[in-house]
Amino acid sequence: MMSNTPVDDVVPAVLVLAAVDRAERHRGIKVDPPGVPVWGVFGHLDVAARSRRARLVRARLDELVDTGSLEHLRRHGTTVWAVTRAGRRRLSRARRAGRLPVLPESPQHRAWREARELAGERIDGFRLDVLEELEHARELLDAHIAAAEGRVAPEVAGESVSDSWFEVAERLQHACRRLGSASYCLSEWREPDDARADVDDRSEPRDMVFDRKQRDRRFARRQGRRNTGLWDRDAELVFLGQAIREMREEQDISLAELAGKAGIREHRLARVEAGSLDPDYDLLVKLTRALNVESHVLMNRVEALEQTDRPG
Amino acid sequence: MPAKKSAGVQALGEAIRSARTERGYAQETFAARVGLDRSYFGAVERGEFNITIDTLTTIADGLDIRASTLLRRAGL
Repeated sequence: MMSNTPVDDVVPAVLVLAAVDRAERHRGIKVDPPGVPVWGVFGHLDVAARSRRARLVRARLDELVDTGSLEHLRRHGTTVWAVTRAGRRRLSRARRAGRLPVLPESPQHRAWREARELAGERIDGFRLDVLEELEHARELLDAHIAAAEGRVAPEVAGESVSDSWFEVAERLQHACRRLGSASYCLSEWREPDDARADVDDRSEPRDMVFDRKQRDRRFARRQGRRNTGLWDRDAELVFLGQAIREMREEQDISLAELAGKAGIREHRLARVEAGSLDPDYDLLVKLTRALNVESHVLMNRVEALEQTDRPG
Repeated sequence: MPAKKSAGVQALGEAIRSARTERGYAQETFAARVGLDRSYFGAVERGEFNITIDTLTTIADGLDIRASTLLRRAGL
């Protein structure tokens, strides 16, 4: 039962219930036991983790448990919240009566919108980058043909012919992948439907005309196509940063708290989480100890993220 | 400067060495395969370098093994 205090106006209980319901729906993978951690609920309410509203949300979650609309469970040492049958009935009643408040934009819709906007801003630059790399490859080819014909000496001082081609291949591949990803984000990634999880399974309808081997190759090529974080940074480090941030949020620890527990500066941790710092092993151990997990558990998470390409 | 020799770094170096020899690679051949300097890679295996995660994954890729598996084998 909703009361009419000013606090309820800020975060109505039924809104929190709807946020848990949507967070469960948008998770996209089956977990046992079901439920979403508190930071997942914050994401669906667009609430900052350490804010006054976050404290109100926590209070609402407890109230919803007391009234039987939610249950809280433990998964991997973290408290998660799941909507009960009674909670679903309450949501249906509120929906039918037109009393269900509108939730803020969902994290998956935000990821889609932001990726699309960013792609729109940067795609022209990416096209120019591909053009520049192609021109560079053309110049290199001309120089090597001229050298082979004995007309001029090769201009690639200090590099063997093979190394200069490997370098061109690496840069061209990166430029083309980035342009492919931006093209996908700008015009091929369909707007997510709020009713279901928007998980990139990397398939496209036209894949069905190919045999299994060709399909697998096409799926592999599409890996990371939604992840704008990969446009400028090393993929491995982006996923490492994402895994650390997820584990920290699952344990409901702030960036400053984790940095303090690990004995490192906050901005250093922020750089690791952003994927812009390649941590050495000792730094990794400091972080995993502060998170109370073993190093291989963290790396397992990184590898799982690489497989599923969940956008950060 | 090779001087760290923490127990974890040493255990990781041993796990890398063990995975490499299981696959029959000579140290020099493997270092060249993953684009690392032979003496640097030797120091990594002896646990004298506190390697970065990027280097760890480069080595793991060269061994066709997961970085998490190397860490687990090292008991880390």
